[in-house]
Amino acid sequence: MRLGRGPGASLEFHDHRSYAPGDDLRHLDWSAYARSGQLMIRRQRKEVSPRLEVLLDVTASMAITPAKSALATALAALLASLAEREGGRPRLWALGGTAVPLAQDWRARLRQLTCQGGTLATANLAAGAERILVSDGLHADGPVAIIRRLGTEAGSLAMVQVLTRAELDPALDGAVRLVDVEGGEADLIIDTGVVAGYRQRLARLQDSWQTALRGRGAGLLTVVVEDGLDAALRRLVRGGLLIASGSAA
Amino acid sequence: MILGEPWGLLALAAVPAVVALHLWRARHAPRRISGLFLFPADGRVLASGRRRAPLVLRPSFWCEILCILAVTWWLADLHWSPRSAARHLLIVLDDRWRMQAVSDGSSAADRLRQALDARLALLADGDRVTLIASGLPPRLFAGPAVEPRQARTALGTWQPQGGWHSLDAAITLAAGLGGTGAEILVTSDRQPPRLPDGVGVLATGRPATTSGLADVRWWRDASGERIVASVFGDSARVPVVRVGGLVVTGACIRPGFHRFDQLPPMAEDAVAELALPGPDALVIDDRVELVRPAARIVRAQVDAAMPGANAVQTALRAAGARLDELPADLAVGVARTSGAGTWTLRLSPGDGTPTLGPFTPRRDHPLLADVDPTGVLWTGSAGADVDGPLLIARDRTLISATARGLDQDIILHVDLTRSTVTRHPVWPGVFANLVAWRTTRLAGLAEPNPRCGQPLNAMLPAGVRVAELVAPDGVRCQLRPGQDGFLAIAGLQQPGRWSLHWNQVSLPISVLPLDARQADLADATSLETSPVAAGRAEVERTRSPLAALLPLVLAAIAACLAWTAFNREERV
Repeated sequence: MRLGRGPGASLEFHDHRSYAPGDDLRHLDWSAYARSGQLMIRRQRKEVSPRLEVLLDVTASMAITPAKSALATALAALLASLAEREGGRPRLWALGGTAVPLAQDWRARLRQLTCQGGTLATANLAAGAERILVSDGLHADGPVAIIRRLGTEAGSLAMVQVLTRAELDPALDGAVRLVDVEGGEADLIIDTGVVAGYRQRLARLQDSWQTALRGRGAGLLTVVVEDGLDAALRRLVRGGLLIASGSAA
Repeated sequence: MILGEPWGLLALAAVPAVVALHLWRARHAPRRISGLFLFPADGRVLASGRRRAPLVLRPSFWCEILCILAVTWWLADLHWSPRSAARHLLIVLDDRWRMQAVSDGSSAADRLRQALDARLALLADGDRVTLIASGLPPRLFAGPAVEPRQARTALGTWQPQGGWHSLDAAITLAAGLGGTGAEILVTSDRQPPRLPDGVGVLATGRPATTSGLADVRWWRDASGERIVASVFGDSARVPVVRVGGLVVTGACIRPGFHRFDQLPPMAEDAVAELALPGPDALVIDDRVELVRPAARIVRAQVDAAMPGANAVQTALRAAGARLDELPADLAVGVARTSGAGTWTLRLSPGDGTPTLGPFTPRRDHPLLADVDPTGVLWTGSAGADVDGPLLIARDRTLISATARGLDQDIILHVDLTRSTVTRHPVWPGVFANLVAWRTTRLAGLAEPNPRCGQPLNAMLPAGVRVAELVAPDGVRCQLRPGQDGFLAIAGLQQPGRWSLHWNQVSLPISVLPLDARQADLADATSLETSPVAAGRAEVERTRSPLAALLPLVLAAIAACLAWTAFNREERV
């Protein structure tokens, strides 16, 4: 066990924050209240397991472009490699229609993955492990259900959302037939109204992910495929999932 | 380039239809995405097929156009040349009924059919045959230029039953149809006279002695009804007449000439059957059916108060007219409405000038046929300016007649109180001619039982502008009478029951297969000379199975390609 960067349940002090309704009253710092007159919650450092589980989404949407699947795979491999270098015990899961654990030869097996299916299967995950979900988050069953399945007994759970530029901002293509690689199709005319509606829904979806991940770790970190791996790593560093010194989260 | 079926070009109408379909196809370009649920549901408005898009020349379009062109090719029978070279045999079939003459159990027609069938069986599939049935006019029985197989099939249905005619018209037609290089074979039961050079002959007749009916008439006039029959060949054969199933007793006036006077009471539409019992080589002229002729008696109405009415009535009665029966066919001294086929006779004393001649009659007029007014004291006349003068004396008109359509207005310019004309033979002579002339203009048929080929005359009532003639085989033709209602029908060549119709009236006509010329089988013989072949003839192109199949195969391939291309274009 080791101390994590975020607040948790160890004996080490982490910081204070203002009380919010719903907080555990046992964590009120009465001394601080006496000094300042404000209700403050005392937060302890998080005790984290050095075990990292990288959950790589291998549903069909992750292969919408070769670059997208390549970036997602590279990020998963990078995270696992970093964890391994830090002395952790990384474990990779390929989550598609079925959950497939990638054993010691995960590097080789990562290259052989094929993306198919439309839903994220439930994996037999280790309790207390730090989990990072590498996915596009574009699942119709919603973040809450996914986090409920994948976040059980997790030390922390963060999500790296890999999206293409077109997924972030659809082009004004006019009359098109949209064919979802995970099933379903529809004819429509993509105009400014439709694009605006899409952006609005995508923003709501990302908010839902943030809400579902709140209090579980670094939260949702969105990277853009076309920006490349360097930009993605910088985004992870900025989001606190990686630190510049090279330590894993 | 020639079109066999120009209407097939209508298939090209599918081209603009296909272009329109592609213009309005508005196929949505497929886009692979990964978050369909993020697109607003109310934005998924179907836009397919309702908005015109620029024409995209996709492979499916070209395949559909190719399919249409192939179908058009097939329907329109597109080809380069209308003619092709082939051996062409034109056969003139003697369609006279004497080909039915039986000898040793088979008729000349049967033997000819067998001989031709054997000859046609030797022809190659690429050869062409034309069958021409002789007649007036000759007709194409099979062809022109059909395959031997089709000619053999048609030949099996041939039954010669035409009246007397020459084969020359049929041979001329064959020469015209065949052109150079064709072979012409004339068939008959004897050697045809005056054949052109190179024409072959196939005769299958056998000499025989035959007898039959030469002529049959059913007379009906003021003196009664009678059937008269003439038998040729064998005077010992006595015809039997049945009317309504009753056998009528006749009398033999002289050898071969029989008269049947005692006809039983019968309906207007009665039919008499006349038959010659006994064996005969040619039986077609041994039995005829006669329809009862309509009574053609002139009904006259005379003004009894006019001067000389008695003399007029006496003369009319002597001529066979019936007096005072209405409606009248001839009105004497009685005013009639014009325009309805009215015949009127008026007596006009004129200026009362007497004359003894010389008289100048119009000899070709039926009213004055065989009338010689010499010796008559004719009192009364009109000037020379009277319309339609028939009998004149110097510059005076004595009898005149004018016709307006079906109306006839006859004027005798005579003062009967002073003239001696009523005591002269010219008086009954003129009235006899008048009644006979009027009889020929009564509505109906002059002879309902004509012999085959005999011209037929009919008078149609006023106002009837068209009549329909129906043949025994149901073929109809419309005939239009002249201004005077007179309808001349050319000799009917097909024996059997015909009918003439106008308005609600139907008159039966029985065309009798009687012609002694056809019964003469003494010169019948069998011979065969082959036609001279002068190379290959140009014949009408016929569509070969391969030529018919090729565009269909092409259309099928194009349709399959179009379907495949369409599916591929629509596939994501």
